[in-house]
Amino acid sequence: MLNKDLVVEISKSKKEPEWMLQIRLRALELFLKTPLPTWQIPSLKDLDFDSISYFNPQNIRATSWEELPSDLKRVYKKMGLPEAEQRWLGGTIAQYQSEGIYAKLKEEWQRKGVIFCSLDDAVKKYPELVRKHFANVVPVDDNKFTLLHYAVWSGGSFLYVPRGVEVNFPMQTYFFMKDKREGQFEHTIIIAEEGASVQYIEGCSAPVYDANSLHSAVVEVYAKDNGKVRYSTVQNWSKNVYNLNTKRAIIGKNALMEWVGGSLGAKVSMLYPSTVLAGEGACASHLTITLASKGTVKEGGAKVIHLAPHTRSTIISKSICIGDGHGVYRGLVKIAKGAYDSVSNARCDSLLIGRHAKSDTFPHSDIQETKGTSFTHEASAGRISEKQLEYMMSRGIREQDAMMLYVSGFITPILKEIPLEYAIELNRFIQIEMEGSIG
Amino acid sequence: MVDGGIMSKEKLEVKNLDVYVGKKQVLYGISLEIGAGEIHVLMGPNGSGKSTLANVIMGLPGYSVKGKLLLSSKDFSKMSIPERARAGIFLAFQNSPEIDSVKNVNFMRQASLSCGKNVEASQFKREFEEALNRVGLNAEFYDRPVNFGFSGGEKKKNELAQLIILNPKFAILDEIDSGLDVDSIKRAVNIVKALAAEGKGILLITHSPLLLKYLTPKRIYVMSNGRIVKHGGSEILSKIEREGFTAFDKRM
Repeated sequence: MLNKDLVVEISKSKKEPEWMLQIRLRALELFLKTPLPTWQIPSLKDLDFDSISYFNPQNIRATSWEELPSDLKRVYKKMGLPEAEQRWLGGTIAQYQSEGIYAKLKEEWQRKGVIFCSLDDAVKKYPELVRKHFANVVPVDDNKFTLLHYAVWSGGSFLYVPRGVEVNFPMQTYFFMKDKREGQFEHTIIIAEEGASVQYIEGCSAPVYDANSLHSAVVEVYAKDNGKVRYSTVQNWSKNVYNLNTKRAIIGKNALMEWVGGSLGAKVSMLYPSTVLAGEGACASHLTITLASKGTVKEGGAKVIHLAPHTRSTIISKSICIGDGHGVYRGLVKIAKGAYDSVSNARCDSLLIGRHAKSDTFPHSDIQETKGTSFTHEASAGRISEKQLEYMMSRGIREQDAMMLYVSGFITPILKEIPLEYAIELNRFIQIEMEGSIG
Repeated sequence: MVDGGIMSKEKLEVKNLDVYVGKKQVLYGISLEIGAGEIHVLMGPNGSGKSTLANVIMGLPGYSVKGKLLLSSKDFSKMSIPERARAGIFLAFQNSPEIDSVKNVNFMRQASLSCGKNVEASQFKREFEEALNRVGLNAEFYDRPVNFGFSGGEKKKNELAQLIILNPKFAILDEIDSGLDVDSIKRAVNIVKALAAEGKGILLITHSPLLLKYLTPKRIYVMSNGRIVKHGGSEILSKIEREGFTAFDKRM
């Protein structure tokens, strides 16, 4: 039951400072008063907030691969993860149910002053640093789901890279959901101080289960002047999951923010990573692959706010819609007064597989500065034609493989941008989805 | 393929083939037989059914078929398109579709793996580069999307490059000469001759006698209104040149 007692219990069990409890309580109060959004295409009316389990305390804490529970390792193995896992082991935090159980950081980064741990730990160990950056990029009352998130958040990562430090090794977490009716409300904060650079990778997947499940994360990114952050995520929630996240970056002078996302599973997704270009010369790049498979509605997109002169943004969105899958691109580009000489280019391509597949594109723009600014948006929607398939098949390629070849080619520009292990994994998931949806 | 005894058993046979599109019959009692290493030519005016025959042999959908299709005495009429390709049948398309999201090299790599040709990536790269070079396409076609933005002639050359890579037993070349200039036609003919010399059976489809200036086929078939109205050696050719295809229609 979602109420004040639950929120107090969560905060208490985490031994949180008073200010955090106050944020939670205010969020809960507003959440209960705020109606569900209605502007989006997928309906949220089946979401039953009282049937979701909000908190599963976990006391297991591992510091090495061997210590991880065997069923978790099995899931990793099934996902084809071990290679990636072993390689990036030093920087991994795995979330098991609602809390991180595994957190390890290579000594060299610690020497450089890099902090990478679960946010729960960070609240205790670095209270001032967290307090300064928490609920700052994404305000508590940003939307209905951030309100819920701030009331019950648990888990997530805290990544802090001090001034001038370049981390040349991707920091990686692997989240997944296990139990029925489990909500995951992890909160991630990434801070690249001036001139710092870091790449953060988050992968998600879930075994199949039968009850509606809600995932509502918040990610807050700071790339300060000349800082550089790349946030990559591959999400593969099972098909009963509502995946409603709010991810936002605020970046300074000549800073660079890159969002790379693969959104695969889930029943309903609403994901619009956003970047606020606050400093002169700041630059944002948004790349997304969305797979809307049978029975799913995926809203994805990007939001970019140009607040300073000479800022640039690029948005590339590729969506694959299979069966009766419905892919929606929703974008907002705003160029504020004073952000002269700023440029934004967006390109959205959809590939429809099957007669009932659907895609929609809603590009919004709000250009308040005209001096030297430009905004372009290109969109395309295509299908694999029978002729193309027959041609490929006439070369010995099975129909399924021919489709996959086509789809791989379609998403290659984005696959190139994510780590090889994830690209292979993503390709494989799309293949599995297609196998289940065609024929 | 060195053993002539085994090689000579390979043949592609079409026996008494009737083909319908819906209720309409489009091919009538077609029979032909192509042995390994032989070049056969199928001629006839536009719309006479040449491409239909090619499509039916490849297994493309949209036709109902009666009669026999045999590959080395084995019936392949129930095989799917990819199964036919893997059994050794190749069709160079008259109008090859453009596939903008797939690179030529990736397409051919997947195709050759599907056809059971599992060579090292580096060796495959070399072979595909050589094939492109041999058909007269420069190195940029290696990475370009399949047929995308290719001229008519470039598409034909790309079909030939695929034929070289996939190394089938029998190849049907549907108007491989159209869109090619005279030099390219000569080059294509030389490739076809070389492939035949390697033991592949070839069925060349054309409505232009020009191609036959450069090669001597084992047999020429003339098709008209869905029927093979004449077959024979190159003596047929001089009659076509003199009187056109209509000369054969009267014999129906």
